[in-house]
Amino acid sequence: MEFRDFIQLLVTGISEGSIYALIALGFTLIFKCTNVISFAQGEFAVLGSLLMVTFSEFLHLPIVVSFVITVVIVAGVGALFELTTIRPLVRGSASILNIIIATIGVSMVLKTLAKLFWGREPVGLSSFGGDKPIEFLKAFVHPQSPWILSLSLVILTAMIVFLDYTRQGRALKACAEDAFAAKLMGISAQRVVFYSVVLSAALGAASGILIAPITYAQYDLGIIYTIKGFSAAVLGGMQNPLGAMVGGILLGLLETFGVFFLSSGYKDVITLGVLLVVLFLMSEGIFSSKEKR
Amino acid sequence: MKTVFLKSYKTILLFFLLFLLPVALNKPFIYTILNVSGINALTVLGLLLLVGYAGQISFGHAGFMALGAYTSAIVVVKLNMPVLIGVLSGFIITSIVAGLLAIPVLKLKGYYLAMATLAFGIIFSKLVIELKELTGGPVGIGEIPPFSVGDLILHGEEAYFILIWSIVFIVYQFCKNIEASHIGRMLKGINTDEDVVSCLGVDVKRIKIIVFVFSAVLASLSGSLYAHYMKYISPEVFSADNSVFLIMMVFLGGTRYVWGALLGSLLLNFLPEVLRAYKDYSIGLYGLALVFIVLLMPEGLSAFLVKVYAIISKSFKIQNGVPS
Amino acid sequence: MNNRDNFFQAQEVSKNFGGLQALDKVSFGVEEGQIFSIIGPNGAGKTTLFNVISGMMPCSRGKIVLRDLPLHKMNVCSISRAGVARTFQNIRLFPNMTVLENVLLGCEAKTVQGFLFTGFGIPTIRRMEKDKRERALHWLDLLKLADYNDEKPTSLPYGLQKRLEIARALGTEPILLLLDEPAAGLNDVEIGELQKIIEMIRETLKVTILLVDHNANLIMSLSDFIMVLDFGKVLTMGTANEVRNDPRVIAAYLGK
Repeated sequence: MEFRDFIQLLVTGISEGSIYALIALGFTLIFKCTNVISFAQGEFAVLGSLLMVTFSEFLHLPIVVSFVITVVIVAGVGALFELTTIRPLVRGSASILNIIIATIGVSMVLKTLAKLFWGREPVGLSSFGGDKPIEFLKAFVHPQSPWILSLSLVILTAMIVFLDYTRQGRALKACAEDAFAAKLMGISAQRVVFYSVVLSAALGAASGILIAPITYAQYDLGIIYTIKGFSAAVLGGMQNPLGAMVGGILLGLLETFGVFFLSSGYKDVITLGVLLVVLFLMSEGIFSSKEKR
Repeated sequence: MKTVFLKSYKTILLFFLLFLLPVALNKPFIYTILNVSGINALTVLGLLLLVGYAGQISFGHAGFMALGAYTSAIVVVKLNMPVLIGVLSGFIITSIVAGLLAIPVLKLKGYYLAMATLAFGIIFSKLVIELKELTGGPVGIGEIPPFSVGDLILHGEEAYFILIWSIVFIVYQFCKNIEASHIGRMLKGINTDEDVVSCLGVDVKRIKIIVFVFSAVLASLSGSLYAHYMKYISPEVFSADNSVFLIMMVFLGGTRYVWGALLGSLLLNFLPEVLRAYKDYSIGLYGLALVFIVLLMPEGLSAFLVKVYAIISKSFKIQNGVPS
Repeated sequence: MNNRDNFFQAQEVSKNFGGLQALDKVSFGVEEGQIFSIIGPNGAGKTTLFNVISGMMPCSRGKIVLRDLPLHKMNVCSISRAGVARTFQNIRLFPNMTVLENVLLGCEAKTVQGFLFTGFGIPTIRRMEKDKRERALHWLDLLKLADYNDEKPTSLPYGLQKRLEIARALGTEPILLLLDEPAAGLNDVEIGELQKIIEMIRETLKVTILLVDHNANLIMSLSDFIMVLDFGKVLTMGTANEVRNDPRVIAAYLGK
């Protein structure tokens, strides 16, 4: 492997990894607040990418405007999702099995809506910074990469600041740790759940938008985003934004370097293989990690 | 044996009616739907025990169907062995793979188990596509010989109906026996509170593995039958989406009664025909149906229908002045 | 501890969760047929001790031995089959099964599973099921729950649910029974009945009992030996009278 290849792989790995990190963060947020893992998470990324294409490519709106409108719309879908599905499930103390089935049902609905409005074919999105590959340290990287890296870094930092330093953010964190204490702080658990779901949807949308110029936007990528985002979340510990970022980047790197040594068809096999290894290692140590009373 | 037949006359009658359905409606293609339903029902019955009773969710069972289908196809087409050997090979390979997988996988619970099985399903379908020399890659394997036992070669939809639904009948009785037995109790206990069941001296790990392998072998049988019935298989048939579809059949049909599995398979194979005009929306509709079921009738359609029937028959008896 | 205690022994059992030391070098011995009580303020580690003995948690250090069997090295299922049964502080019954079925699950411990035989409806399995039913009905009868056989546990009054847990535990035919706060939430009449039941279990069924509870009367009347835990450590051990008058025990309880 030449240095040039190494740089290329490194940049690609970190870029794709940050996408996984954003989706992972969405998982972590919802999980920490409700102990629910939403199988619909990846669909928000898909919606984000497709809406962005519509606004930016078809309606020719400026990138920033499209970005914001897309995220808002997807956040709205997230709100709907919370009200119609998450809320009744949590309130009715549904079993984990039922929650999984319900969120899968939602993912199917979203996927169909995506197919309906945008068709089966992948659609392209222009990179934010033009179409020429960028030269970096003698290697050529995709022009979208710097945007992915910088924007995801900004978003993740914003999340860390939000969760640790703002009142609302700390409420979100507190909700998971101790719902009663959160109430004492004058925070309604229901509202916190609502915002965590909406925020996760927004994060998902952002990640879909950022990666679209590289992978194209397509209606059926949801499952792959979901499971890779989940893998990143598990890798990073499901605790906080930093973990999500570390997990995501680690996963991205493992995937890109793995593909270099095996054929590209094995790309998903590698990522999922990592997930399985991590899960099995975790399960060996699951004696008192989460005792349900 | 005789008692089995006597007690299940209702089931036999139902199967007979299904057999007559295409003739009655004069639409022979319904046999295809019935046959595929029957094939799916085998997997769904296994999943009912695993997911419905023991609560161990698996989104990877299409992978076991693929294992059965491809093994049988390869053994029969490339190695020129008789069909029964192909099916048997499918069983053996699937039990080995499922047994090995079960040990680490069943240590996981809830979401992690679901994701792990989903991951396996996806890995498996990717592997099938990549290992082109063995599996034919995305093109699949064609010209698979029809199902045969010795010199008896099966031709025609009716023959396959009898083959498939006889097997369904046997497996259905088997699962009913399990459900009504101490094993059914154990599985339901495991679903509720696995640790307590361990505390009562039950080897939970062992029974979970047994049920997992059993359901995998049923899926394998299902896949092998599919291969020799359709005579063509490709990776698409056994994708992760199909694993989800199978789980849908379990939940739509319902987990309270074993016949829910049959109801689920029939429904989810007939509905696409009925909804043919809305083919593109169908997945979304199923998704909606799933959400509704979870929120409104978590025990599925079968439990719902039974309740409705009970209410109706009660009101009938009151109307006729008969104390219920 | 003397060498009559080779029925059950805990030696320097410790358990920590991250930074919290839930059990700290707890050592004690129990004679066969004894009713051995463990008392202490909330959070003293009593339920953790039960979790460790029954195998639901591994101990960080120490040994637990039942008649030469090293329980600390065994898993939950094996420990149960070795003859250890328990009830739970917050009732863990199976709500989707009837009372009878709950106890039937308790009777599975020493039976064969026979998946394929069961599926094919082999008569032997059905005979075994009949035997299990008789045993389960016997336990329900013994604990005076026979009238509720076909009810769901949630429809039983709280006191009877606790009794059902005991019936289910007895189904495994244990030699050592761990009762975790069986009197919690019971009124005086029910506690009186509970006392008779525990005595019966010891006298008639010859089961050794480890009892955790907060009800002083119950502990004092039943116990052959009492161990006091506080902050995961053994504060003192002795007969009912010795413990009752120990100033450290009084301080520990009053201090909370």
